[in-house]
Formats: sequence, structure tokens, C-alpha cells
Amino acid sequence: MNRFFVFVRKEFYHILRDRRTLLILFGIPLAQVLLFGFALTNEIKDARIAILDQDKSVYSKEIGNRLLSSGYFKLAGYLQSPKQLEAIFRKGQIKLALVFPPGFSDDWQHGKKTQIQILADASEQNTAIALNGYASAIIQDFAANATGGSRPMSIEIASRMVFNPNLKGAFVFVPGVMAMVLLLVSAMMTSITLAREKETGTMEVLFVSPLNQIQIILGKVIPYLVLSFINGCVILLLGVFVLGMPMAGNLILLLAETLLFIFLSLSIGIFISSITNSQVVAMFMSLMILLMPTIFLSGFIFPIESMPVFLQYFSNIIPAKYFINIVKGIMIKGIGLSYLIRETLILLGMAALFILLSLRNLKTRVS
Amino acid sequence: MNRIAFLIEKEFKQIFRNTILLRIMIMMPIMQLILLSYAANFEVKNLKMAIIDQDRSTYSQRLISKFAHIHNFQLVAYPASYKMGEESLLKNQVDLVMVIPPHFESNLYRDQKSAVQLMVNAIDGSKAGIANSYASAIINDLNSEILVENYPLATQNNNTLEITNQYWYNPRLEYRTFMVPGILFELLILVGGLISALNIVREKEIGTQEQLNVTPIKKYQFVLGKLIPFVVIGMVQFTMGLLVAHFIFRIPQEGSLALLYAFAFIFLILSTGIGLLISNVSSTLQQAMFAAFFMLVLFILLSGLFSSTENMPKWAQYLNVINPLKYIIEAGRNIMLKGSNWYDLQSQFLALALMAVGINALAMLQYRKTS
Repeated sequence: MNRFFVFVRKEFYHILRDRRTLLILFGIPLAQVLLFGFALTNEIKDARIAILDQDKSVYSKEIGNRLLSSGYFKLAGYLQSPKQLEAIFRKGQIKLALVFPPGFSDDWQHGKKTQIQILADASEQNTAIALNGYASAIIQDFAANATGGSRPMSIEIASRMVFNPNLKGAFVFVPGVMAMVLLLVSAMMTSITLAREKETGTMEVLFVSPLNQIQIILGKVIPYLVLSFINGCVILLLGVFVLGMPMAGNLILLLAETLLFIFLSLSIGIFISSITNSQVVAMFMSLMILLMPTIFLSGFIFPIESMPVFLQYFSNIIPAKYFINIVKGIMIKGIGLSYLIRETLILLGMAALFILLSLRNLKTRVS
Repeated sequence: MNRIAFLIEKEFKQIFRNTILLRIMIMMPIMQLILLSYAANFEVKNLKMAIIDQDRSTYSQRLISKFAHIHNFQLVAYPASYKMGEESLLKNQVDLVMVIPPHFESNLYRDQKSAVQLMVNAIDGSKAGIANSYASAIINDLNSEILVENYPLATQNNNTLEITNQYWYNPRLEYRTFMVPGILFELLILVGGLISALNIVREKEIGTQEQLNVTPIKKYQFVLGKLIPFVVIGMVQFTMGLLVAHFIFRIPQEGSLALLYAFAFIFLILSTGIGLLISNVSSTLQQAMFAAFFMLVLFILLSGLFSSTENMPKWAQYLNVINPLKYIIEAGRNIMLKGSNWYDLQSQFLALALMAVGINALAMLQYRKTS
């Protein structure tokens, strides 16, 4: 057993001496949490618009002013003719254009039907929908005020945003970033380290040492387990203290589940390295079959329910999906293990499967 | 000149012999493009809903049947109590719960107003906002119907202002049209940048770099010899990606194909240059990979692939000045969807060209024959 500890210590030295990698390992979660926390907002302000006012009346001015003072829009310029619309959109200078037809205010005052056109650049689809919604609401509000009167028989809607009343983005991305970073550090790093030993031939050297196979693999893996765990804790601390995530549930349970997920990621890493001898291939496999699907298919960025059915089924084999549910459940909803038993069992099952598969592969390879 | 040709031949042989890597380089991005384009969708659909009807009146029934007929909502449960509704939110069984309180209908006649409660699972805030506005629209719809039925005259004359909306360049508001051009270039930098980042450092690790160092190859020849093969492979990939975008996803190609290729070409030179630079300054594959990965993640997140760059805070926008992916995604979307031409996109092209020259010059300077 003593030998084993010496081996683990050696591996630790190995990692700790590579300062640059270490820096990046802790830099990635930090940068990502900060980016997601502060830079990637879908909040809209100061979107540039152009106004084509063919009416030039008090009303059209008033509507324009209301839009511009709402904080959502910023004037890029007044257009003189409809011909300019296309060019200014094509240059990407505006997101939205507001067109008042000639005689707009006259028609409106005399109770005739009249219309305002809102043109949106929908090559950025979600922004277009949101901007259109804001602009329409402001104009409707103006029209309602101008005509006056309250409505009879109104149904009020009292909406309650459960679990996240302030609609903070952190509630989605902190669990997501955590899953991503843990996978990255655990699975990618281990698969590459092990593949490296094989590629350079030092694996053979290790195998003739008095340590047995399992001990060698464990010794290689334990340092990454520790690193990942520290990383996970850093993200949790940032999430709670910098970005205002709640910690409604049991911390011990959360840490235990985190360890389970790290363990699973490590076993995936070992599995990948057991089927390839090349670092580059190991890296690409981790990147393409692990990381990208984790970002796109786990529900981290895009909602799973909106995907085509075959991808919804596919998302069931993405481990991060379950882990993200667990983290959200414990931190935000404050639920206990009894609610999360299904997710936990699935993660355990996956870990067992990968360990078994890689043990089989390793045995045949060494003999 | 001859020397460069030999170097290129050597690189190609190396690449073609490693069949696994070759397959990964060509197939993976295409598969990713297809999969991700299907997955990348911010549309909110298939919302699971529970309704607690404590009124059981004609109006409450009408409201429920309205929700039942809208595709966006799936009515999955009718909990008997408020408590059970909350429980189903906790268990993730539903996305929102609507509570129709007792006397909903009679209050509407007696007090002229009544209330409906919506409880939305708001962990994903933006999704919750959309779900809430969909549900509110349906309730408002019922409200106007009731109003028209009861006060047919009062509602006629005050709605003369009409707002018409037009969504240009993506009239059916398909999210894919927005995402595919972006993903196309994202994968290009992922593969071009990463593989080249691993290339030189691999030569260092297996010792063949030493062999190259003792030859009379000049710095610029060395860098060009590495650069050209990756650019060629990248162009092949890009072509395949474009075909997928066109034939599978029906993404329009409004602008000039030549201009698009010119952008792809300069972008590939740039991303390969970044890879080579990282490779030159790293000593192990692991280091190179993590450095490359770190940069790529920053580039991708800030590029506007997922969220509009204009809504980002000032510091992020300053960072974006040196983000090649931001320029290329802008250019790609504008060329493919809007048919923008050379005059519209000059500044993006210049920025990319400048960075491409700068980065490759730096990569050349960083390459040392002596250790």
C-alpha cells in the first residue's frame, strides 16, 4: 500500500509541475463562470433602429420618441425613402426599422384603419422576436392611452416565477458549467495522460513494476479526482457568493453527487484511453463525443424539449443531463435524495458500465 | 520553393497514414454540424402543463380547452390541490401550473374582474418568460372573446391602429437559419485551430522536430509547409459543410459564393496560424491542447453564436475586437442570409486579414531551431 501512495505522490508532482496547464485548468472555470455571469445576457438594450417617417406629424414623432426613450432602442438615423431600407439592413447597421405611411396621423384621427410597419432583421431570430415584441407593446400602449377608457370584464393574470423569481441566468449556467468543467478535467485529462503513457511506451515500464494494473490506473486517476473536486468547489463558491445562486438543499448530498459525477467522468476517460493508443485521437474523441454533446444536448444551453424526438432520446445517454438535474434540484429546489434517486442510479450504472468495459479492454491489451 | 513542396508532401503523407485521425477530421465536423443544427434551438415547444380547476364553470372549461388545442402546451396533469401542483413542479413533471380559482366565472360577472394564477418553473429564466407570455396570450384571447360576447358594441370602434410585422431574411423565424452559418465556422476553427495546435508539439514529443531542425529549411518555409496542408483540408471541410447546409438544411445562399470562400480562406489561414503559434510555445500536447481549448471556448462564447454581441457589456465588446470568430460569423450570416457584398463587409475582411498576417508572422518568429 505504501508503494501505491508513493506512486500517487509522483503523479501529483507531475501535474503540479506543469504550471501552465494548471493555470489553464483553474482559469477555464473562472473565465467561463464570469463570462456566462456577466457577458452572455439576452437582455436587450440600445438596439439600433432606423425610422422612415413619411408622415412627419406630431403622432409619428411621439411614437418615435417613446420608443427611443424606452431604453431598448437607439436611433441609428432617419431614412428618407423606402429604398434605403434594404441597404442599411444589409450592412447590418440596424436591427429594426419603423415605417410610418404617408397620411398616417390623418387617417388615425378620423378613425380610419391605418398601420405602422415594423421591419426586423430576423437573421438574428430571437433578438428580432424580442425587439418586435417591445416595439409593438410600446405602440399599443400609446394607442390605448390616446383612445382612453378602461375595459370591463378583465381577467387578471398573476404569474409567479417559481424557484427563480428574478429570472437570473446563473440558475441555468452554473450547473451547466460545472458539468462541463468536471467532464473536461476528469475525462479529457485522464484519457490523454493514459494515452500518453502508451504512446511514449512508458506504460510498459509501469506494468513491469510491482504495482498491479488497477493500482496503476487508480494512481493515475486520483490526482485528477482531487483537482476536479477542487474545481467543482470553486465553481460552487463563485456561483453562490458572486452570482447569487441559492443553496437550498443539503451541501453534503451535493458534494457526494459531485464526487459520483467526477468518478463517472474518470471512468469514461479511462475507457477512451483503453481503446486508443494515440493522444491526439484520445483528445478528439473526448472533445467530439463528450464535450460538444455535453454543451449542446444536455439541456445546458438549448432546451431538450424543443429538439427533434431522436435527439431527445439521444440526450438520455448524456451523463451531464442527469448531473445538471441533480445540481439544480439540490441547490435551487432544495430537494433531497428521494427525489433524485433515479438520476443517481443512472449515473452509478453508467460508471459501473465504463469501468467494466475498460477493465476488459485493458486485460486483452496487456497479455 | 521546392523545399516547401516536399514539406507539404510530407505533411499530407503523415495525415493520410493516420486513418483514424483523417476520419475524425473529415467526418466528425459534418456529423456535428448535422446534430448540432438539429439540437441548437431556442424555440420553446412542448411545454408540459398542469391545470388546477377549482371553479369548474363554463368559462374555466373553455380556458382549458383553449390550452388543449395549442401545440405548444401538453396538458399532462390535473392535480386536485394546490399542494399537488407544487409537488409536480418540484419533481420536474411539469413546466407550468395554471390555477383557476373558485368563483372565477361568477366574479367576472359580479366584480367585472377575476384572476388566474400561473406558476412557472423559472430555473431557466428565458424559457419561463416565453412560456409565461404564451400562456398569457391565450388567457387574454379568451378574455377578448368573452368581452365581445358580452359587449358587442363597445369593442368595435377603438382598434383602428394596426401594427404589421415583417421578419426579413428569415421570414419563418427558423432558428436553424440563424445557427447553421455560425456553427459552420465554429467547427472550422475548432478543427483547423486544434489539429494544427497539436501538430508541431507532437513532432517535439516524438522527436522528429530535431530532425527538421538540422535541415536547411528556413523559418518561413517551415511555417508555410505546416500551414498549407491544414488550409487545404479546411477548405475541403468547409465545402462539405456548405453542401450539408444547402441540401439538408436548405439554408439560402443569397450572396456571392466567391466572397464566402474568400472569407473562409483567410479565416483558415488565421485559425491555423493561431494553432501553430500555440504549438510553438507549448512543450507538451496536453499543454497545447488546453491552451487551444481555452482560447476557443472564449472565442466561441463571445462570438455571438448564441447571444447577440451588442448586448454584451463594454469590456466584452472590447475583447471581441480581437475575436476572429465574431467577424467571420457576422460575415457568414450576412453573406448567406442577406446577400451582403464586398462593400458591406470590407471592415470585417480587413480585420481578419490583418490578424491572419500578424498571427502567422508571430508564429514564424516564435519558431526556434535552437532549443
